[in-house]
Amino acid sequence: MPASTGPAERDVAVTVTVNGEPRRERVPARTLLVHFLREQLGLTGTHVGCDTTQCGACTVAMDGVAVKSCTVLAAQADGHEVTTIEGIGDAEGLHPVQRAFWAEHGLQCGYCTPGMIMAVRQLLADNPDPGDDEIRRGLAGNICRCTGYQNIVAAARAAATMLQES
Amino acid sequence: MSERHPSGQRSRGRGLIGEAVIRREDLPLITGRGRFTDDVTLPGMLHAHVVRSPVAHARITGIDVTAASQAPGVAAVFVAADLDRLGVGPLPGADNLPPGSRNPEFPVLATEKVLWAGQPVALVVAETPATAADAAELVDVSYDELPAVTGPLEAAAPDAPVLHDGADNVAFVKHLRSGDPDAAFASAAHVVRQRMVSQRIAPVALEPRGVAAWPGDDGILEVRLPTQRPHGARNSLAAILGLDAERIHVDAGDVGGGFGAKGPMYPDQVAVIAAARALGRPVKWMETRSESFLATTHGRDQVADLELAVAGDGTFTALRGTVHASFGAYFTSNAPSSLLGRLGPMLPQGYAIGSIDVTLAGVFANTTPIGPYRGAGRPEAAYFTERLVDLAAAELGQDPALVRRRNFVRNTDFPHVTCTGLTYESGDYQVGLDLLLDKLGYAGLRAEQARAREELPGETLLGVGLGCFVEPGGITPGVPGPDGSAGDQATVTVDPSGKVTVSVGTSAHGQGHQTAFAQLAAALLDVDYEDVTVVFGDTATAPFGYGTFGSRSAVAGGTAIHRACERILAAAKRVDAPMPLAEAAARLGGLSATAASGAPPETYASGAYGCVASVDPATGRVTVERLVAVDDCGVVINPLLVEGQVHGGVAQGLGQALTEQVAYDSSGQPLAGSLMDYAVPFAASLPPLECHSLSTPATTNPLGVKGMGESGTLGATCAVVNAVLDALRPRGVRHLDMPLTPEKIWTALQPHGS
Repeated sequence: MPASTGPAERDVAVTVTVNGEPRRERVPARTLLVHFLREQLGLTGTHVGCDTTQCGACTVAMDGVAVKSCTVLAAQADGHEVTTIEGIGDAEGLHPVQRAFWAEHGLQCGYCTPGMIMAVRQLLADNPDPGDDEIRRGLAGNICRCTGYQNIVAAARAAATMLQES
Repeated sequence: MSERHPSGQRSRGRGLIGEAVIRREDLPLITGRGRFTDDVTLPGMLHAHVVRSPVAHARITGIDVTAASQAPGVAAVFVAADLDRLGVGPLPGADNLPPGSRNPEFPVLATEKVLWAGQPVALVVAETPATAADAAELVDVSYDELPAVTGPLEAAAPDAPVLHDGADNVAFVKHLRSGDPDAAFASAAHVVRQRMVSQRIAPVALEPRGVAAWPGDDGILEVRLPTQRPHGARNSLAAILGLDAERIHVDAGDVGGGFGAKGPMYPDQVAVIAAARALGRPVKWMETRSESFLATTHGRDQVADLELAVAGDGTFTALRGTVHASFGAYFTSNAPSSLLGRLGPMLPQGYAIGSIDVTLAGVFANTTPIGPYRGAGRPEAAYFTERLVDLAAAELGQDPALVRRRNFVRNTDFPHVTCTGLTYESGDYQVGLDLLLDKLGYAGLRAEQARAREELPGETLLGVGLGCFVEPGGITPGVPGPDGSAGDQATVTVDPSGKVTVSVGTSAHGQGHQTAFAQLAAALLDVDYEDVTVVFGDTATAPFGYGTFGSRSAVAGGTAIHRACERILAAAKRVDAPMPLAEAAARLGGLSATAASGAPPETYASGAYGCVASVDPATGRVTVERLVAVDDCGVVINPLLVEGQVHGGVAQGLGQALTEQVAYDSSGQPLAGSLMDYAVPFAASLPPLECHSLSTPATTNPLGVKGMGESGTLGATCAVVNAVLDALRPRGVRHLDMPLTPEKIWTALQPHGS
């Protein structure tokens, strides 16, 4: 069958508020949110680490709730607000979770890190003072292959303290 | 936010070595501003999709690319004949094989036969990743399927289906023999025998492999490649493409983990680069995770039949047996070295064993090619020996800690030459083990275990396991650099303002070299840490080097930096009076020096790990209660980074011990092809890790450092398995092969279990 006639390839218009800025693009209907962010908008901080929604490297916030952007169509984000790693803090003003990952050596290669930070952000929104076991269970949707999670857990704890003190 | 040091830290001088300096590489990575290969987008960029064999062993009877070539958005479809016309390939096979070995060429795209499910057959290049994937569905390949063989022993059998030209699948056999093993076994009071499997596992760096290539200015071929070895990749590419290496620029950018698997040059990457050259346009390809399980090298995959001879007093006297190692369908360049240079020679571990008679056999099978995976022969050697040691302790009726202590190389006996010819330069294995036992509260744990076995025989089974190991690190390949000098190179430049740039031929992918090497140079030159910039990973700006693998960079890159800094300090003395380096550099109009490491000898780090595990007999489920690590890697440049390496290695070691396995069915179809069915550890899989250290400096390099990046995979695998089997021993279970899944354990615990 010829490759470009299905409904999946038909372009759709989507308007998504990304990191506070309204973005209007036409994309093939099958475009995933992660590819929309990376390729249409050039927001390459959101990473792709798997194709089965296991690794969590693509985690972003949609309407303030963490989602895996590899499992959301760009079209499903139409009319919604998306926050990516680039939107939560930068060199001039880091988010407490970013600061905690840095201070606690919570990253090595850094590939899982944006998704991990977005997941910790959600975890602390749900549970501002989690214990270690709650942190470990709460990160079940995110895989890191470098750190053994030890310093990610420490970073989550440190971030909880920072957020509670601020 | 600026770079911070915990308060009280020095920012210059010798004291910087050993400081837990927070990493300088982190800011871009925590803000989503890293520069990974998939982040590269160029005008006019095309996207590639690899058509792979769906079967494990077959003759290709036809390939029809007509429909795919005509599909919308397709720029070109390449098959093997197209690459032949372009003068591309093949990959050369393995380095450093024993004389008489078979070493088949590794085609970039399959020609007459496919040898594993996932082998590249064709490459489709199109306007978008999606149109390339769509068109790849239209490539029509006809296969005449053949019987397949997947395991190391099965593939070595005389009646196995044969992959390559020749009578069988055995590519090489090497014998390690020294001392008097026959006499040792003849006079042994006990001989402990076991067949043990170090199962095939997948590295699973979070960033999949990929490549972006394009024609650059002045005819330079530009290559962005997530590689551990930028110069090695450039030189391999030059040979495979028939180009001068100076015409190729390789930039690794940020690399999202490697663990050995981003060391080799792969056929799919070569095909994409060749396509970019042929089309004169940028082409990018990133593998999917599912594709990665087929296409990226796996690790381990050995079966060991080993025996340990033990004298009446419990002294180990000799090792003998055979290790069969599968290398999958083809050799990747340095895969056999894991068996020949690591697994075999490291079998004595830290024990003073006088004799050995071991046969190492390398075989081909219809599986994804094997490559180095964290440890690359080291964890397997440690695992096989540490299992035999526990079995020996059980047979002797003695405590496993006591049996280890009695057989360790004594701290007064260094340098120690093993019966396999390696020279361990320094160490103190007794003190390391004692520290571990103390931190574990070993005596108390044994008492608790004895009480539980007495009082609650049907309840949770408690086990305590030890894993002691020696880890070789810092290898320098024997091939000299382009100027004929041995080892990795470093260039240190001090500009007239006093700013220092260190560029080095080792290349990081998560290890923190920017920070560690800046600490090192600032310490050696007595300049401010903040004034040092470290450069690597780009063949245009870094001097020649072998990259990062085999726990080598602190030793090899560190020594090169040390030598270059010494030259800088000598050159700075040309000024007429003693003065700080920055002033001397200003007076002299800047300073620059390049030095090669001179190939420092390998170092031998060591460790003693302990695990406390419980097993629920009703379900077979293992709970790892505690993991305690004692590491000795000599002088530590940055303890934060060293502990980070231990944490990661421990998680990977625990993954092999309990959950990970790349399994195949009898036709060679992989049974674990995604992260849904390949079980890497999650955060909740691990207890909080307890890390401790001691330091016996290396005597063979000027820094006293020892390579340690793989230690966790050695210690944790042994300690976890030994703990679980210690828990199961009262139930009559002698040995189980990894991964120790609930099903395997539950089955073994049943009255008629094996």
